[in-house]
Amino acid sequence: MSAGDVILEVAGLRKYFPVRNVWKRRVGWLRALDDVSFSVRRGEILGIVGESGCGKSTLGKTLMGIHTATAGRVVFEGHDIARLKPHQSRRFREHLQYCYQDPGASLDPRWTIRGSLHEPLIVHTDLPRPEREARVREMLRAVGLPETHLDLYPHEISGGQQRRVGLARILTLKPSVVILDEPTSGLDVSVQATILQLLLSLQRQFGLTYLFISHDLSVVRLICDRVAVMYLGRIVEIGSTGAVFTTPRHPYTQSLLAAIPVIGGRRVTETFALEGEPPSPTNLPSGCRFRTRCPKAQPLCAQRDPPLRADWPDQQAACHLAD
Amino acid sequence: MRRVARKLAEDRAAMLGLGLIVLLVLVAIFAPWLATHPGDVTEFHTARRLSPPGPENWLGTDRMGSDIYSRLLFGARITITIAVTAIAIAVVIGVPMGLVAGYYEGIGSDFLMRVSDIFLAVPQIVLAIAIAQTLGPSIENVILALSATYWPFWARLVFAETRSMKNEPFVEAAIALGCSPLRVMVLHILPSISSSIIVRTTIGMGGTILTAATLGFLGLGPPPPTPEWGRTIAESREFLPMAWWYAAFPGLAIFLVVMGFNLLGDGLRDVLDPRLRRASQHGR
Amino acid sequence: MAGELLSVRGLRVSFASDAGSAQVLDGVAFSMKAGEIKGLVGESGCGKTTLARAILGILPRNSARIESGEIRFDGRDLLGLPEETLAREVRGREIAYIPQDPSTAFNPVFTIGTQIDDLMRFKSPLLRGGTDDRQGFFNRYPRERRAADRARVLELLRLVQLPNPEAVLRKYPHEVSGGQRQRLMIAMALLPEPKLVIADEPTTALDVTVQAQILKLLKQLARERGAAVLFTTHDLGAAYEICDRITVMYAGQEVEEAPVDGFFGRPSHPYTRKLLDSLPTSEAGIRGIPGEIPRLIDPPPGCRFHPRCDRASALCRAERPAPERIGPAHSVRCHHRIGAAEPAG
Repeated sequence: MSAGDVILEVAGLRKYFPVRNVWKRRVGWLRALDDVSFSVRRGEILGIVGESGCGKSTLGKTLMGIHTATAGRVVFEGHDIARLKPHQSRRFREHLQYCYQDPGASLDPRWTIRGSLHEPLIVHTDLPRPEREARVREMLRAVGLPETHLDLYPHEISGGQQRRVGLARILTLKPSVVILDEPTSGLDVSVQATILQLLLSLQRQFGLTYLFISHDLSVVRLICDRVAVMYLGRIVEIGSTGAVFTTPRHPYTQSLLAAIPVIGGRRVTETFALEGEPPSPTNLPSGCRFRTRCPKAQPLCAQRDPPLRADWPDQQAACHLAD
Repeated sequence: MRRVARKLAEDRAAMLGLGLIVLLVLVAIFAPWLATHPGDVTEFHTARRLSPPGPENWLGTDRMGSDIYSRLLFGARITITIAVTAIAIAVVIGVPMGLVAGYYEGIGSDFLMRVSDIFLAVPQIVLAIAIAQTLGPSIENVILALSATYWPFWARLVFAETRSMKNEPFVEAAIALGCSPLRVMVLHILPSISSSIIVRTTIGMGGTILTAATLGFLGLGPPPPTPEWGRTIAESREFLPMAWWYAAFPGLAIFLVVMGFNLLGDGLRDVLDPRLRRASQHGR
Repeated sequence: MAGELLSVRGLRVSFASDAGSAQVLDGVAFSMKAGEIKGLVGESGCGKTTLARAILGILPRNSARIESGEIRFDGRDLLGLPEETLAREVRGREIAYIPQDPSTAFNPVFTIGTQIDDLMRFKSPLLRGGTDDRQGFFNRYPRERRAADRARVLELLRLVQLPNPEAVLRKYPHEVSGGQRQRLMIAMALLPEPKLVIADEPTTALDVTVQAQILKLLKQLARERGAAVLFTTHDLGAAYEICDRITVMYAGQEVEEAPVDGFFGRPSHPYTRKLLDSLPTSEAGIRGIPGEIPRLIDPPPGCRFHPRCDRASALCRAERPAPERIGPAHSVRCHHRIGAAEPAG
C-alpha cells in the first residue's frame, strides 16, 4: 500500500451512555459521541483535541472496543470492527493498538516486565518462545531500555521507564495504528519532551500511524499533521495543523487557541473573552451545541445543527457563520 | 512473597496464630503416636468413668471411661477434615462464581449475586442446622451443610474485588490488547485479588470450625463414638460442674484453634491488604 | 515599595519513610512582598507543595520534620508560634489556601452556604480587633455579624462571577461545576481578607478555557484586595500569565528568582534554561532534560542539578552555590551561570 491511503475510517460513530435515576430507570442519554466521522491516512499523526467531557477519550475507547459503539462504522484495514469486542475481533485488531494515558499503569504489577511484554504475542500469535523473546528484546531496545530490565517488576523501575515498557508492549505486535490517549497529561515538561521525542522516533522507525488524543494544544501543534477539534461529542473543526492553528474557522477553536498562554506574547488573562463552561452532555442545547457560549451566536444557530462544511482547503468546520 | 513472610514474622499475634495452627496439624497427623490410649476412640472402660485428670488419664476420662486427651487428639483430625474440605468446596464454588459475575455485567451476574444475597440473608448457623438436620448426622453432611452456607462469602468478596479490578488500567489494557475473558480473569484479576481471598479463607476457617462444633454440639455432627469436639462438650453437660475437665478441655481446644485462625487472618490482612500495601509503596 | 511580607530562610524539611529520611527541602530561601503575585515553579517532586504547606503549618506531623530554618510572616516567626495561635489567628485568616482539586476541598454532605457560614463564623474580618474574638465550638454566631458577613459573602460571590449567588449557597458541592467550585474556593480564600493567599496548582485540574477564566479572576481580585498570592505551578505558561516574580525550585533547592520578564527573557540558571527549552511552544523544537529527578533519600551533594547539568564541574559537586544577584530582584544560585564571564582557572 502506498503512503497516504486511508487506513482507518470512522463514519457516523455514536456512543450513548444511558443516564439512570436512583431506581435504575433510564431517564435520558449521555451523548458522549454524536455522529463522529473522520479518516486517518497511513503514516500521519492525527490529533484529537478538546476539553474534558468532549468525548475524545470515549472515542479512543470505542475505537478499541472497550466501549461498544451505539451506531456507526469503524473500518480498519477493510473490516468493520465497530460492534465487536476486542477478543472477538482479535485478528483485525492485532495492528490497531491503544496506549493508555499512563502506559506504565497498563502493566500488571504482579508480572515481570518479560511477562508483560510476551503477553501480546501469546494472545495474538503462535510464535515459539525463542522468537517471541527475540521480538521482546528488540522492542525493549527500541524504547531505550537495557535487557536486564526484563526480570524486574514494574515497581522496581522508575515511572518514566514504566512508560517506555508500556509503549514497548504495544509495539511488540508491530501495529500500524496506535491510539495514544493523553500520552503527556500529568507529565512535567522536561519529561513530556523526552516522551514526545520517543514517540516521534518510534513512528519513524516502525512506520506508525498515530491517533493522538490530547487536551494540550501546544503539544498537538508540535507533533500532529492534522488535527480534529471536538466539543460535546462532535468534531467541530478538522484540518491540517497549519490551517487550523493559523486560521481557525470555528469560534470554539478560536477560543481554545486564545486560551493558551504564550510566553512572551500577550497575556491571556488580559484578552480572554469566552465565558461559562460547556453544558452537560446529557442535556444538549438545540441546534449548534456551542451556541450557548458562542460570542457570534445568531437565531439560526438555535434552529439548525451545522454540518461540517468543507469550504476551505485542508479544513472543515461545523459552523453556520464561519467564513 | 519473601517480603510478606518477613513482615508477618514481625507480627507476634499472627505468629502465635500460626503456631497454634501448625500445632493442630501436627497433632492431627501424629495422633496415634501422641495419644496415651489410642484405642479409646472406640473402646470404653466403665470402671474408670469420669475420673479427674491424673497420671493415668492426663485430662481425665469421659462418661464411658475413655481417655479425653486421646479423644481430643483424634478429634483434631475430624476438625481439620471438616474445615478444610468444606472451605475448599466453598472456595471452588464461590470464587469462579464471583469472578464471572464480577467480570460480566448483565442479568446473569445480577441473578448470581441475588442468589448469594438470599443465602446471606439467612443466619449461617440456622441454614447449616436445617441442611444437616434434613440430611442426617454424618461427616459428609456436615461438610455439605457448611460449604452450602459459606460459599456466598467468597462469591461476594470476589465479585466486589473483580468489579473494582475491572477499572484498573492494567486490566482494561489487557482487555484492549485482545486477551480472552478467561485469560483476563485467571491471569490478571485472580492473582491480584488472591491476597483478599487468602485473608478471607483464613478467617473463614475459624468460623467454619466453630459452626462445625456447634453442629456437633446439637447432635447434627458425625455420630458417636466419633470423638468430635462439639459432641464431647454436649455429652459433658449432664456431668457439670463436677466433671469440669470433661467440657473444659474440648472447649479450650476449639477456642485455641479458632483464635489461631483469626489471629493469623488479621495478621495476613495487615500484610496483604492492597490499600496498606499501596501506602507503603509510596513511602519508598 | 511595599515591605517584606514573608521571608523563609534556610528551611530544611525531611520526610521519614521506610527507606530512610528524604531531604525534601534543603536550605530554601524565599521571600514575598506585600501584594505581589509570586510564582513557585518546578517539576513534580521539587518541593513546591511542601514549601507551601510548611508556610501554612500543615505538614503531616507523623512523617515530616522541620530540621532548621525560619519562616517570618508579617513580623512574626511562624515556626515559633503555638499551634492554637496559628489555627486561630493565622491560618485561614492571615494566610488563606486554595487547593489544587476543588472537588475534594468541600465536604459533600453540607451545602456550600453552610460551609461558607462556618468559615465566616470563625474567620470573618469583622472579628478582627473585636471583643468577642475568643472562638469556641459552642460560641454563638451573633445575628448582626452573621447578616453583615452574609452581605460580604454575596458581594464576593458576585465578584467571582458566579451566576445567582443566593442559589449557589443553597446547593451541595456536587451540584456545581469544577470551574464554579474553583471560583468558590477563590471567594472563600479572599473572604477573611487575608494578607497572603497560597494557591497550590489551582488550575491544574481545569480545562484550558476555564483555566484562563480562573487565572484572570485570581489576578484581578488579588490586585483589587491587595492580597499577595503564592502561586505554585508546574505550568510555566500559567505562571507567565499572572506572576510578578518567579522562583524556580529543583529537587528541594531554589535555583533562581527573577521578575517575570527577566525569568523568561534572560534565564540564568542552566535548569531554568532547559526547562524553558522543553516547553512545547519553544522555538528550539522538542528538547527534554536527560536523566531523571534525583531520589531525595540520597540526593546528590552540592548543587542537586549537577548530575543532569552540562556545565557541571567539581565545584558543583562539592558545594551548593550561594545566591548571586545579577539584576534588580534577579538572583541565581549557580557556579557557572549562563551569561557570566567564563571563570578564570
